[in-house]
Order: sequence, then structure tokens, then C-alpha cells
Amino acid sequence: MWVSSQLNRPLLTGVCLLAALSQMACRSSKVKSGARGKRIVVLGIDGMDPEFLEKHWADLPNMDRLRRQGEFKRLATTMPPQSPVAWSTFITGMKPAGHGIFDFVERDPKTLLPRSSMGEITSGGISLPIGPYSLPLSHGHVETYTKGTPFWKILAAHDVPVTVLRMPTNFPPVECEGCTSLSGMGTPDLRGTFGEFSWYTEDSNRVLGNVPGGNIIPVKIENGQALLRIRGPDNSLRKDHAQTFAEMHVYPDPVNPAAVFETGGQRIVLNEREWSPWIRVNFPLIPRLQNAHGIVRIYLKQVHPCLEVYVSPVNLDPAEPDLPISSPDSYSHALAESLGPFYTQGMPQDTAAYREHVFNKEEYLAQSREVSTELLKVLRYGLNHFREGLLFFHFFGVDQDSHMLWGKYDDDLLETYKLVDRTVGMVQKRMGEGTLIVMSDHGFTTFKRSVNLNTWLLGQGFLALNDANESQSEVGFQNVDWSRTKAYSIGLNAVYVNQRDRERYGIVAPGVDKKAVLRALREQLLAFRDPENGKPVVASVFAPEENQTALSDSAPDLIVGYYPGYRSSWQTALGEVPRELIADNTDEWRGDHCVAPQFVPGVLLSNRKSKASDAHLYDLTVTMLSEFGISKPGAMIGESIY
Amino acid sequence: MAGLAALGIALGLSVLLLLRKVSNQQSIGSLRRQMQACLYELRLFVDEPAVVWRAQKRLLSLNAGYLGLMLRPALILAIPMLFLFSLLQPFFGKAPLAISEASLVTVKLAHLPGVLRAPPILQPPPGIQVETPAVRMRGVDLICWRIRARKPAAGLLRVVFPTGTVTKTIASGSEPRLLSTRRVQSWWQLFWYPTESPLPAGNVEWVEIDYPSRAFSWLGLKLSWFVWVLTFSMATVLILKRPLRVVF
Repeated sequence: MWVSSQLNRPLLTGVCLLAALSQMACRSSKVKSGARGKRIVVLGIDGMDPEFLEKHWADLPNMDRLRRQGEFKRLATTMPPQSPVAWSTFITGMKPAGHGIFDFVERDPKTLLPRSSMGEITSGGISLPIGPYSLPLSHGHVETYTKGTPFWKILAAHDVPVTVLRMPTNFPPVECEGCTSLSGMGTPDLRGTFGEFSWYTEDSNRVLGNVPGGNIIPVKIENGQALLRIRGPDNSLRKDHAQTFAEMHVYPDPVNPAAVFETGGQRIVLNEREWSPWIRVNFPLIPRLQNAHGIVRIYLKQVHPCLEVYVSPVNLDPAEPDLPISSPDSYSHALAESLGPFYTQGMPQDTAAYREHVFNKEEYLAQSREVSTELLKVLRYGLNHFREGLLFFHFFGVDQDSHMLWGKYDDDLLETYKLVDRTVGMVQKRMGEGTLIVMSDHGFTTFKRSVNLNTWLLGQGFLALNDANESQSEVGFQNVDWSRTKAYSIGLNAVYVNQRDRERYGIVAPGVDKKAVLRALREQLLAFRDPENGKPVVASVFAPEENQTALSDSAPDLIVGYYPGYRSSWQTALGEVPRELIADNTDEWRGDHCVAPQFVPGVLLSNRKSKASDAHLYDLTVTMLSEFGISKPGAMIGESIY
Repeated sequence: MAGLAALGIALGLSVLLLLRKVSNQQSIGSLRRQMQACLYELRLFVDEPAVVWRAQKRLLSLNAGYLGLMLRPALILAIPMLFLFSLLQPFFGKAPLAISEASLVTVKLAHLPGVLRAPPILQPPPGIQVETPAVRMRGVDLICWRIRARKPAAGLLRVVFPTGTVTKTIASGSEPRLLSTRRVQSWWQLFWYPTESPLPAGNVEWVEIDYPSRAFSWLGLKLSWFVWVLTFSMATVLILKRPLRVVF
């Protein structure tokens, strides 16, 4: 009746047109007139230290000019000052109690096993069994544990063009209409780890097997060739989830220091001490029907007298990733089309290979520089396509190199800072008018003494073992007597109370009992002295629950802030209980930042002067929004610095 | 791209004319009409299974007859087509070595062991750099080098053995040209690699340069020459079959 009337049709058309026009007006008015055309570039230089900068301004002319033109100040970091925690605060504008990330590693209270705090990959539920295979009928998914709304989503909702490149703790990338993102730290390799190298060696004196961050695999040359079996993902299409492998044949020349590598129809020739370009590798899931694939780089360390070949972690191929690494999905494909393949794993500098003496220092630095150079091309691509709005880029090289070089190889570390400085100069030149912020999530200090926190808890009576003569050196607390354990540690700064109804074998009642345990822990931690030199070990102890009532079960009960020079041991991070209380750190990992936050502030450099006398990471979140006329959301706690 | 289009059109036209000449057009036309009739039967008598079944059986046998009639022109066409493609592939399929990009030179030997004592030396023409020593791949009797073009070049690559020298043409730069990807020794392999004279008898079976593949862009699509030629020729056949009164 309504639409059949000829008189009503023009009226209907007019109403629709009016509605469309008013909606367009609403959309364009989301961006305040003063914010249109605005440009902000934020460079997140992970681990850049203010004291190191202050010592080397003369060698860093672009950043020196930036601080003279605008300003330079320390940027307060999070408790604990770990990258996933700090970046999550920067992203959401909330403290750890708000976004839920407290450490790199947390424990599952139901199993007490360590897991990544950033997220996990889960397989689909329903499947169809066919012979040895189990074909999924529903998709698996990647779950992120970070709570809160990322700032770029808020910007995009207000029609501000935004691109975030290599953003930490953004795996899988947050789905966001109108924004572009590429995931960074936290992105796994194809096997779902943070990156595990493979080291193939003919040297029978080498210790073989799994090592932290990699695998050392024996190889034999027979009939002039060696077979490298490159580990791929577990085959989720098989009932037994058998490991997949890609095969690579190596033909070392009998005399010359060079070798031919063949895999999947590709052939390359490498000299000794040479890196290959990216090579595609396929892992059969169902032979001839379905493969998983990734990309690797090879380093031919030695041909004679023993063949030694390093194969990088299997990275997701940005041209067609098997897991989502960008939003929209097509963005990583566009990057790969333009730049060629590049490192997609979140932490590509192979510090593990250096720590295990697979790389020497020069080899590590060469790999690290190569990673940095490659990923800076992503920044250039972003800049080339940047017209207005916000562009963010995360650079990891300073952090990873600082861990390996701090306090001993300052000249080498300065080269990394110089690379950043040249990048800052390039960005300033290309971006033209606009605000440039160069910031870091935390600084650095030495790591000289390695604290076995669970051993301390054992000594103080908070933790008990089934067999006191056996130390606990297995992941999962195999030897721990939970019926007498009140607290334990896992991760780099976290202590958990063995709370009833929360922990798998909890004994401490919540409420008064738990508070008493926490009080005792705090007092004794602050009184903790290094038996070797009498120095205090712990500067501060923070209880997240004091300031926030609704914490998740995975949140720690206490966060330990060490004095510089001290850090939780690697064994503590996985929940082990070694015999020694504190040991010298003899690892190549010689610098760290998992201490009390006041000792490792980050950096704020900008081409504008701020009004803030002191600034925190979460202030930058609010700043980025307010510069585009967006008022601070209720969950965010900072203030704009401008 | 214009060359490929012209080639595709010429090919399509040749196929049509050859088909008209060497095939039994009358029988093919008759078979097609009968097959169409069967298809109509299937459509019209869908509720009469016996009729449908008979029509399906007849359709199968008519198809066999049709394939039999098409076999002769297909075989006659196949041989010159294969030869034509093997001639066109070195020009359209591959590009000269790109400047600053690495490539491989591979030599296949009848017997590797002799070479294990003294590896051959690769001598490129000016503009091409050898980046690795010879890598002798035992078990598969191959020798490989990695090379890199530093500037446009065209000339002879020399593989110098203690007992003699073998040459291979090589080219780099952006100008398309007729390329010889592999220089072979055996006559039957010459059919696939016809653009260079055969190697003299000896231990070297072939010498190969890994030229990059060439792709042609048009209307936002980047495809190999073969796909474009096929597309243009098929389009030509479909457009011109009626005016030229060719049935297939």
C-alpha cells in the first residue's frame, strides 16, 4: 500500500537520500576539524635506554637534534618492566591489572604448566576420522589473552587512518575496520614456538638434542650428500599429531668451502659463512593433497672439516601465511609483493643461537643487522603509503642486542643505536610536517647474578619438596610437595600463592590466610641478601590485587622488583628448583630489564615539547587519541602529554 | 604483449584452417547434431528412464566416435605445436639474467669422479661475476656455481676442464632475446633445447644456465607467455569458427 502509491515514491526516495546524507555527515564529523590532515609517527624502539643515549649524543646526531628541537625525558615503565607487559600498557592505556599481561610466561593454575601469557593456538573441535587422519570440520583459532581496546581500534572507529607495524602482543592481529596492522612480538614461527633454530652438525663432540631456543641435530655425509630434516608443525590432520618434516639435501664440495642445497625443486649454492636468501619449505600434511609451508634462511657456517649448517626458525610466509599476521589479511601479501619475503616471527634476532654458541658474536650481529635492515624496509613501505593519521613502527634490534652486548660490547651496541639514529633521520625527512615520537618501553641494566627464586622460597619455608635430596629440575614442579607449599614462582618476576580453589593443589585459604602469606613474603623478600656479598637483592614488591579486586586466576599475587644486577634465573621462569640460591650469570645474555621499574625507565624523545613533568607509557596512549580530538575512554588512566 | 597476441591469433587461425583441411568436417558435424539430439532427449524425457538410459548410452558411443574423428587432426597438429613451443619458450619463456640477481650454472657429467681431483674453472664474459667455487655434487654427477650479472652482457661462458673447454652462450640485461637455457650433447635432447649447437662428444652431457622466468602483464594479470598465447588462440578459434565454417 505504501510503496505502490505513486505519490509516496518520491517521498520515500527523499527520505532515504536524507538519511544517507546525514549518515555521511555523522561519519565525517567523527574526525574533529582540527585533527584532519594531522600526522603522527611513533617509533617504538624496544629497550632503548636513556643513560646510553646520554653517553652517546655525539654519535647520534639525528636523535640529538630531535631532543634539542623538542625534548628528551625518561618514560616511566610498568611493573614488571617486561616488553609484553609494557607494550600492552602502551596499547590499551591500562596498567597490567587492566590488560591482564604480567609476564612473558604465566602458569595455568589448573595444570601448573608454563604457557605464553600472550595467547595460544587451539585446534578446532569437531573432526572426521579417516584412517590415520582426523580431518577438522570446524576451524581452530588463535586466542589472545590481552584485554582492553587497542588504541588503533579507537582511532579507526573515529575515521583516523592508522597503520601499526610489527606491533607487539598483536598476534593474532585485532580485527579492525579502517586500520592496517602487521603483528610483531608474540608472533610464533610455523611450529607455534617463539622461534626454534635447527643446527645440523657433523661434529660428534657437540652436545646434541633440544636446547633452549633450538635443536642441535647430528648429520652424516653419505655418498657426497647429507640429508637435513627440517622440523615443521605437528600434523593436526593426523590422529597422532605426528611431527612433519621437510627434506633438504646438502652437497658439500669435497675440497672447496661451498655447498649446494636442494629442497622442493629449489637449488642454491652457498659459500662458507654465507647466508641464503629466503627459501620456501613445504611440510606434507596429507601427501600430495595438503601442505603447510613456511620460509627459512640457511647459514652455512662450515664445510670442512665438519659440515655445520644453521637453519632459521620456520617463519610464516608473509605472501600466504598459514596463520593470520596482518589485518586485513591482504596487507602481508601486499608487503611481500613489494618487499619480498621477510621475517614474520615476533623475535627474529636469534639470541638463542648465540647463547648456545651456535653463533659467535660476529655471526649473531650479522644476523641481527640483517633482521633489522629487512624489517626497516617495512617501515619505509609504511612511510611511502602514509598521508595522514597515525603510523607506528616497532623496532626490536636495540632490545635484543642489548641483552647480548650490554656492559661488555658497548661499541657494537652503539652501532645498533646508530642504525636507529639513521632511521630517525630518514623518518624526519620523509614525514614532513607532523609530530614525531621516539619512545621505548623500558631501559636496560646489567644481569650479573641469577636468582633461583623457588630455591629461596624453599629455604624460607614457603615451598616444600617431596624429596629434599632431589632438586626439582623438571618443568611442571614434579618434585614439589603441594600439600606443604604456600607459594611458588614461575616467569621472570611473578610469585603465586598456592591458593585453595584456584591452584590445582591449593592449600592457602583466600582472605586472611592469603594476606598473611603475602605479608610474610613481602617482608622476607625485602630482607633477602645475597650470601656472596651481603647486598640486597629485592628493591620492591608489588601486589596487583591491592589495587584491583577483579583479577583473573592467571594474574600473579606478587611481582618482585630486583635491584640492578639481579634477575630471576631461566630455571625460575619455567618453575624449576635448583640447588644453588644465587649463581653468577655466565650466559651470553648479559643485560636485562626485569628489575624494579625505577631503575630501567624508557625514553621519550619528540620534536615537540610536552607539558608533562613526568610521563608514563599509558600517557602516550591517551596522547595519541587526544591529538585527534578523541576524548579519553573510561578504562584508560593516563593524561595527554601535550 | 602485442607479439603474443599476434602469435595467438595466427595460431588460432592456423588451427582452424588445418582442422578444416585434415578433418572429416561432414562426419564431425553429423555427430555433433546427433549428440545434441541425445541431449535434448535427456532434457525432454526426464521422466522416462528407459529413454534417458538409451540416450545416455548413445551419447557415450557418439562421444567415442567424435574423439576418434578428432584424433587425426589432433595428432597432425601436435607435432608442429610441440616444436613451435620449444622454439618459442627460449624467447618468451625466459629472460636474460637480471642485473644484480644471482643465478646458477649447472654442468651435468657422465662421470664425476675424474673431476674430483681437479675441479673445472668457470670463466664468464665481462659483466658476469662468479661468486662461488665449483661445487661438485657427488652421487648426482653435477657441478654448480653461483653467478651474478653486474651489467648487460652477451657472450660465451667457458667451463675449463684439465682435458678441454666447453662453452655455453650467456646473456644478461633487460632486452628480451632468444636464449639457450641448456646446451646438450644428445640429439634427442636437441628437440627440447634447439637454440644452441650440440656439445661435442665427451664427459659433459649438458650445461645449463638458470635464467629467470618471464611473465607478461596485461589488464592487471601477470601470466606466462604460454597462457596468453593459448587464450588469444582460443578466442580466435571461437570467434572465427563460424565465419570460416569450421566444425569441431
